[in-house]
Amino acid sequence: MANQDAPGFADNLIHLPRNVWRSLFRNPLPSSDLGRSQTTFSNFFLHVHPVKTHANSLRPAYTFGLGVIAFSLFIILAATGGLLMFYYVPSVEQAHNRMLDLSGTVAFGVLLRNMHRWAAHGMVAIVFLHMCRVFFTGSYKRPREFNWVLGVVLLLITLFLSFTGYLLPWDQLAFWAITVGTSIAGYAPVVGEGMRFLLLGDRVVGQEALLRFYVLHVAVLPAVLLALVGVHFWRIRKDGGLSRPEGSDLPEAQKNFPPALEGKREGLAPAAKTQKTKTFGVMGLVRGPFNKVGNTPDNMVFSWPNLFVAELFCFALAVLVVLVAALLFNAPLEAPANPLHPPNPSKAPWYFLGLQEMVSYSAFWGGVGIPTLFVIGLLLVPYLDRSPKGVGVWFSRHRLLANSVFVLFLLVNLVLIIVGTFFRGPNWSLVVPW
Amino acid sequence: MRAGLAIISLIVLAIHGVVFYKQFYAPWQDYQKEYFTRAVKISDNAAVKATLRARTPAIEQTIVRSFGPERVDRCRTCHIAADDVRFAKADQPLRTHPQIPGHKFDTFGCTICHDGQGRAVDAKHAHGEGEDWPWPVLPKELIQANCVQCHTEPGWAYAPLVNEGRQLFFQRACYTCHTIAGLSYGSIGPELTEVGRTRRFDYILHKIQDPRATNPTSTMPKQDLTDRQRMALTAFLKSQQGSLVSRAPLTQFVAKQERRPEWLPVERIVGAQAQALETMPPAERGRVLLPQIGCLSCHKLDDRDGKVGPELAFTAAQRDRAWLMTHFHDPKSVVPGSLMPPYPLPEAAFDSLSLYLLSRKPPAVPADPAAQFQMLCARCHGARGQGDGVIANYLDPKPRDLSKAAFMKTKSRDRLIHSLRYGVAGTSMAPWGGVLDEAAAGKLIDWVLAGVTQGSAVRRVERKVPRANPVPFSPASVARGEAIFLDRCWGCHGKKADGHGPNAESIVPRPRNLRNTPFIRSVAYARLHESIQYGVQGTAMPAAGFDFALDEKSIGDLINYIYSLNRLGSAPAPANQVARKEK
Repeated sequence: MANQDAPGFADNLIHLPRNVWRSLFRNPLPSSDLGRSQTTFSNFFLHVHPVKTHANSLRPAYTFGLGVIAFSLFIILAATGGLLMFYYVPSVEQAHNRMLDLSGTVAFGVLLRNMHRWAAHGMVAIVFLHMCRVFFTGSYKRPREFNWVLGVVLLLITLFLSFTGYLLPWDQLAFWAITVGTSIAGYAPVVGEGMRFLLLGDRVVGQEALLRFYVLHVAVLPAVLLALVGVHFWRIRKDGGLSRPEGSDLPEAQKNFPPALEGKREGLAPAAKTQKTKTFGVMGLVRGPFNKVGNTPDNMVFSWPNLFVAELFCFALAVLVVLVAALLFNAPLEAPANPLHPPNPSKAPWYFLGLQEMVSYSAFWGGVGIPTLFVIGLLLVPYLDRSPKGVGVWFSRHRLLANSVFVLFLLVNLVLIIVGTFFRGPNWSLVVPW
Repeated sequence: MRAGLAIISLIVLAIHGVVFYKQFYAPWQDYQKEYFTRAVKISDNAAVKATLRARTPAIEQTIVRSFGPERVDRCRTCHIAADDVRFAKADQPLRTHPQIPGHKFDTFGCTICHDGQGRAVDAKHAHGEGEDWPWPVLPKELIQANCVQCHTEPGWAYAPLVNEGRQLFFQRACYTCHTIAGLSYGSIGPELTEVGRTRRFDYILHKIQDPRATNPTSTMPKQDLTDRQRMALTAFLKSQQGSLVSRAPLTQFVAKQERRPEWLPVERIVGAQAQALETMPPAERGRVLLPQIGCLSCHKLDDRDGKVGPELAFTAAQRDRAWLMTHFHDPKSVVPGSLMPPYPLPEAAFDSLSLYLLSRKPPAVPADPAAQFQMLCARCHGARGQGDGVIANYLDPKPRDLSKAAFMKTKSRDRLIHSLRYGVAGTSMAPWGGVLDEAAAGKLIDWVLAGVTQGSAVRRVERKVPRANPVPFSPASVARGEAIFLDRCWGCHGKKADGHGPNAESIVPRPRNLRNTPFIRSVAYARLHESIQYGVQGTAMPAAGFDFALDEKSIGDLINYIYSLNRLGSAPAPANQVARKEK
């Protein structure tokens, strides 16, 4: 019955839209810094972000947004991949035909497929560049060692994701690239053949391999990647944000920061202003020397809008580049896989071509030995280089040796990939590509 | 950054517009709309017009399950007028498809006859253009290759090119080198049982046209064929797809299990003529058979010339029946480097062919040496004697370059005359003694030395070599000889002593194949010893006796090793093993 406290049914009906909206969005859109801070802190989708971000982290020339771009590419891949999953069947009889259907009649099929492929190649490249950025800025040093290790693991998972996806079209390119790649895996001593059999489910690339690679590619590896990416982001928070150089909290450093950042930035301020005893809800539970609120002067700015705009920009940029690439360049689809007809030469995907080039000199050292040493080296870098100097700047003088060694490795790898891509012809003989 | 974000978002939005446009205004929709418009114009029935006006473009597809793995054919999305008879004169893709009784689109689809890629709806991919689709749309004359997958009766009237191709397959000797299950057995070229399925039609056509284009070391002869004959062969080979859709799997299985027979039934090769052949006298039979079984795809006789093998007109003067029969059964036993495949024919056929060849009187040989040279020698040795005759590339060992004085003028005249009159065993050099007596041969040799050979050379001083092997044949001697061989000789002669050592490709004339048993058997010990000890002037064979300090005993061991490779237990009887042909 209608009365003051309990609205009648008619009222409920009239106010239905407003009530639905309000039950969904219980707090109004924030309009003040405090409101934005609270939303950043308590919103489900936003709360992985810090409420305040250091201005140095938002310098484009510092990180180039590579980490965010990598994650954006992953989102694009997950979205396009999910849509592609509606049409693809991992069966040796059907896979190639399904790819033809995708290219032919599925609405936006060509675009989807192209986006997925170029985003995949892009992600491998960007993740690699991100690793270079982290290395060259010395951002793997204490306390960020484990985050670096996580990053290396994520790199390997990304490569594995790209590799497993490469097989799925089941065309000549896919079949033989994976044959080459898994053969290289088989060169490992003792465990090599076992690893190869585990990967392929058979002695040769066939239906078993296709099914395994499909499951890995769409289910197992994305789940593992997401979990580890979650830890990777969490670690950033625990480490107090991205690395930054000494003196980045001083007012002098402000000349390097992007001018468009909004919000006041306090430089060195008188000590009496701060209230050491104030707590902010659960922030009181945060341990460690990371509770900087009101304790030290800094060049922090509010994440909303500065960080979020930067992230959206990176995401939009990634979408734009992937879209344009997808419109301009078609993903290749060669003849259906024919185990009796190897192309000459058969080449692994480009990120493994450096390996294949090395393998052409020595199967063990090129395919197993050197790569393993390289990965182990990468993993151990933050534990072997523990000097705290040179963090937060590109190519710091203090890190000349480390940076030079890394650049050397990069160049060697690049040269090997270029040789493998352009300068190798039939029977892996040297050819001139022009 | 906000500005950047805004700009990028706008561009992304604009791109979405482009994407949507491309999706919903694809060419196939234009074709369909054009069809609807034109069909409305030429329709007179109001109801039909209304239906056509109401139609919107949609993908037309046929799912074909009756012919092997599932096919999806979407060709009629563009070729929408295929079953509308009023469009018989329209331009493609709106032209009517010819009526073929009993072949409805809904049952057969399109690609089963035309090949192509059924699932695409843009022209380039649907027609299978580009490298990446193994079955591009067939040109009109080759469609019959797909018809005969169901219409398997031999000689079916609606596949004339396939039938002609099948005939050519036998007439041009393809059947002697290539296996097609159920049809022929050859072990020299690749098996062609499924070539129509695994190779594109343009690959087959070009391979027949120029065998060495894709494989420079191919020994497949380049046949003289008209365009139509090439197309016919291509049609026949395209029809070999390994699994005729109308044949039961059991029949196919049984066909594949067929053991290689001793010989092919002659009917399969010559067709209906086999009956008539039975009643002919043997020599006549040979005369009729010879052009039909592919001999003239390589050899020359009368006005037909395959330009791969020697001329057959002089056989009566050069060979006897025993040699011919051995050669037919296994050409490599007489000339190890021969390209000629063993012919899968019954004994009676060889008999007839031998009789016929031996019954043909050789042409008259002119008296003038220059004319003699052109008639007898030029085919192999070249018009100017430089070892570049028409068939020189197909012979192993290659014909001697007679213009090189370093070789020609350092050998004794007697030896040259002997080679001319008695031939060189184990090579394609035939004995010409049957048409050139001692005097004529001498005259020809003198003419060659004076006119063909360029320059001069000095023969080394007379050498002393033992006439028989100073070392008796024994396993120990052979072992020592092998050690020397692997130390000194294999770089040119190869580890297997077959003349294919790593240095061989840059040496002319090529190092001798030491496993050429007929040759080794025909050469006197003294000559082998001399060649090793003093080298062979005019070739790259060094004087091992001096350069490698091999003494007589070592050379004897080496020669014993060579004999052992050829299963000649001890030195064969001295020279002139080969049956002489006296004029």
